[in-house]
Amino acid sequence: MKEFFHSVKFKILICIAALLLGLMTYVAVAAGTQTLPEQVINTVTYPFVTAANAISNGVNGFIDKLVNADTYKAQNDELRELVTQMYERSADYEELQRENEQLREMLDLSKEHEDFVFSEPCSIIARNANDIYGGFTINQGSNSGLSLHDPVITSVGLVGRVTEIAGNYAKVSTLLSPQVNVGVYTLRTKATGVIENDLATAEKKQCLMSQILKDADIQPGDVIVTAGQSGLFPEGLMVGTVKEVYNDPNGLSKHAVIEPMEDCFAVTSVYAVVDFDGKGLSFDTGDQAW
Amino acid sequence: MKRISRSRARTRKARLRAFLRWFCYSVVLLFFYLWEVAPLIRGWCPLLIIPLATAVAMFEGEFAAGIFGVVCGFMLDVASGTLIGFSSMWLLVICPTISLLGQFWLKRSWLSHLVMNSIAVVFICLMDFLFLHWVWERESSGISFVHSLLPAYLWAILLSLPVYFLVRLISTRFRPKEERRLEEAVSDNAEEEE
Repeated sequence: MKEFFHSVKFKILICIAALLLGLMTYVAVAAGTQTLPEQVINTVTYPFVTAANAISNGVNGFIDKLVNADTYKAQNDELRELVTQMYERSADYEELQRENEQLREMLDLSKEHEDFVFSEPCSIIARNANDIYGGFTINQGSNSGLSLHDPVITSVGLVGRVTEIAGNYAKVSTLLSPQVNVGVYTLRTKATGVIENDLATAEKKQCLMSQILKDADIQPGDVIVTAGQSGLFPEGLMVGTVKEVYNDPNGLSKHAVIEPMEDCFAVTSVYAVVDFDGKGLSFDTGDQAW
Repeated sequence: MKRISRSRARTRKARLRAFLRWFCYSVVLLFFYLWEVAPLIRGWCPLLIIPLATAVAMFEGEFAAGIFGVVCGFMLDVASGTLIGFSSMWLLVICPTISLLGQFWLKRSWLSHLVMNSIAVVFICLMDFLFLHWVWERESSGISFVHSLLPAYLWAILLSLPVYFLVRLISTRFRPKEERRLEEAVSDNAEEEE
């Protein structure tokens, strides 16, 4: 053993120890800089470290799945419940927003027509099957104060009227339907007529205004509103605009094609006007609305 | 002439075996280093480089053990992120000491390695705590030492046996036959004496 302490190898090891001390001092003083041994080790082992990390991540991921499966399941259930709650809240929020918009519209309508008494905002819960005139069912009925023949409107204008009623729902026939005949006039010249629909115009989502006097001044672009003489519809409700005017084949009157203000196939919520000035004054059969 | 050529062939074989032996040690060192920087089980990174250095020291000469100890120390410091050269310094002292003890006083067995390795680990652990934690008087240093380093050092003691047997396997597998036979004879003789 003594030979070792007197050998060159021992002296070399002493030199290495001295170098290490110097290296440590240098590293301690110049903090943050990479030393040569570090650089060599990091460079040489870099590809191995990268591969080892990939393997380690894979193995750890696998073990993690096995070990924490219960925790993840519990978390998943919790998050699912949270998501359901969020969806419910979101749905409630949308419902409230829609209701708010409806009430805002209703307020505007009330300001415009002070004599109107509105129902609760009505949502369209179903489209009447095979009804080419766009009839629909609303979620308010006689229990909410609605009655047969009540006009159904939106903030834009007239949509139709109630043609069937039950306790908690009502069926509405639209302006396009032959069941809904409305006395109307043009705002510009007060030229009167009646909305009398047929299948041909309804297919184009348009209405037909008939019984216009031969000499009446009516032109495309004229705005049509309800006349309000029948007691079935209040006066002044927007109906649509004139698209086309043509003479009756017998030459005694004119007809006008009307583009309704409201798209009866697109509406999602409406209001029933349950009372207004002059309601039912000359109301007779309901099919004739003069 | 034939004798000279045989002798040259033997030397060549011995060199090849020595190269393969050190290559295998290096591969194991790299593997243990990778285990520390990318642990297979997150949070479990035993400092296996220390038992490797001590085990190699038990089977190799004091100079080679010292050099390998320095390399192991560098790898350990880079993996642990401690002051570079810190562990090298201690392993430079420990490894030649173990090698000399193994050559002159200690029997090369797993028990000797366990004892020597435990002493080495405890010593490095104490030096680590003293110079890298206690001296700086940081509040969190004690906590990080107890929760992170201490378990790693304990694992280095507990896992010293498999490391020892792995190194012994490499050492005996890639050692010249004559040397191997001589070692086996010495070992058998020691066991008989016991």
